[in-house]
Amino acid sequence: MQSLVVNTKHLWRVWRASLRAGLIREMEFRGNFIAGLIRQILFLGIFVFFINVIFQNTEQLAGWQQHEMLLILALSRIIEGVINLLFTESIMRLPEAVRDGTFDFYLIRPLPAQFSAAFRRPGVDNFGNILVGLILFAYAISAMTTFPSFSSIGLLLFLSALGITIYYSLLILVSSLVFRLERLEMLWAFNILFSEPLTVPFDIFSRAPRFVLTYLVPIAFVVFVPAQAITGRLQWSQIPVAIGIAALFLTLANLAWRAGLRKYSSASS
Amino acid sequence: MPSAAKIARTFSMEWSRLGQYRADVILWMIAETAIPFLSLAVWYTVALSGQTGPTPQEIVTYYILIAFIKIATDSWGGMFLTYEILDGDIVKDLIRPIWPMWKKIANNINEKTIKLIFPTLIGITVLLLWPNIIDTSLLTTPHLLLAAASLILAIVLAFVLDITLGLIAFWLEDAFQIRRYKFMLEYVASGLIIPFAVMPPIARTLFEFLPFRYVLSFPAELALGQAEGARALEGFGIQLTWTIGLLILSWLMWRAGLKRYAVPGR
Repeated sequence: MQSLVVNTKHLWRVWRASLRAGLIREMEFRGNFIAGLIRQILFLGIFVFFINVIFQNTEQLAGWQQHEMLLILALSRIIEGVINLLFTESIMRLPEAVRDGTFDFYLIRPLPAQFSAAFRRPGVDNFGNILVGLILFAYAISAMTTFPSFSSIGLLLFLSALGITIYYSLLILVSSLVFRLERLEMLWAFNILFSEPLTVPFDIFSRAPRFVLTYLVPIAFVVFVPAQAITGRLQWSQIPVAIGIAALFLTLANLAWRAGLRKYSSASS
Repeated sequence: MPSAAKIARTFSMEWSRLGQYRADVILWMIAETAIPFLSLAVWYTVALSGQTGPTPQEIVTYYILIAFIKIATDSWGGMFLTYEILDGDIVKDLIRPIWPMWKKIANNINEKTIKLIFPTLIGITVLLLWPNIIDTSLLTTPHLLLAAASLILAIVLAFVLDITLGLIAFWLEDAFQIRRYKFMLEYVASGLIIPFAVMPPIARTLFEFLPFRYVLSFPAELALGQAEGARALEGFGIQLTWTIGLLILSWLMWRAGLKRYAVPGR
């Protein structure tokens, strides 16, 4: 147990150093950083406009009111922001690292190779997404007739952490293919497929796609299920399912990663 | 002017290269249709409430057309051009005895030939299995002919717009940020997430002057008979103006860019 705490502290220190390096790197191109922040604000504005137009044509979308849709949008910005801040960019660079041989350096560092591959380069420009998401979240909550209880906020945080774990596991699962295939340029396409549906309530889907997105590619747990928790729609039976799916996919991802590592042969040797 | 043989050879080489990336091509094709089909799910649900706007059949027809047009007009050569300019790789193409853009054109056309299989199959399957879900009465021959003409222009416009943005890398290191702004505008101003049929009037007027509608929504609007007569003519006018304007601009940028280009060390 003590070694686990020491290891976690060590990884946390390494990640903080990576974050600091990322911030310094971004500040070298300050104009680009500010342009990125403005783009994130405008992107949120586009989605708010999208929701506004939807509700000019209907009073509810599959049972979700306008302020609840704004809540889903806010959560998607915050959770996607955290996901992109933590690991997306690093994982997306994995095929390049394997191809040009720099992955060798991950293997010789005194760190788990998966940690180096996934958390080496924090996407610091995503602070904008998180910030605007939090502002919209506060607005959407204030528009609700009853303020959510502390237990539902706690549940929201817990389920969001599980959702982020599931998203991480999905990315590690597909990125492990890079050790078997010679190239994996399509990793970005997987990320698009996993992230695009996060801004909508999954109630709009018919039974078959909903089943796929809940159990087979369980991105329903990333934003939609936490949104159900904060809006009082969550069935208690979904909590153990969320925990089980997060544990299952994390295990599968680690098994796929280890199996992939055994297949790895250096491109630079 | 390069000989037809050189151009044919370029197409053949790009086709061989495509064979190496076949899994990527298929997955990108699926990813590209993700947004149209998500938007379809949203607007179909809205249409089912039956309060205002298009019918569920019109929405399904519109978004199946949009999925097809999106793949047909997709362009990525400008992004690679940005990379090549910034890291100096473009030099390899400049010393070849053929204009480098032929490679981009060949890559674009070849890849789309494969990518279009997916939405075509979906369209045929939907038509066979659920013939009533699509409003085929809208897809008359004159509408489809106009849409086809507009689609050809849309393919050229999308390609030239993409290449023009790629050429900015001759002057600007942060050229990728501009591409991200383009991607963002495409979302809302092309009819991708909000069909023009339900767009508020002010936004509609504003977006009608930007090129994005003429890359995606306009051919679909023509096919569905939503833009007829004077509106169709006006649309074609704007589409043609953007296409010719960007062709001239990209040509000027290419020449001016090459004159000032200093290759980073390789």
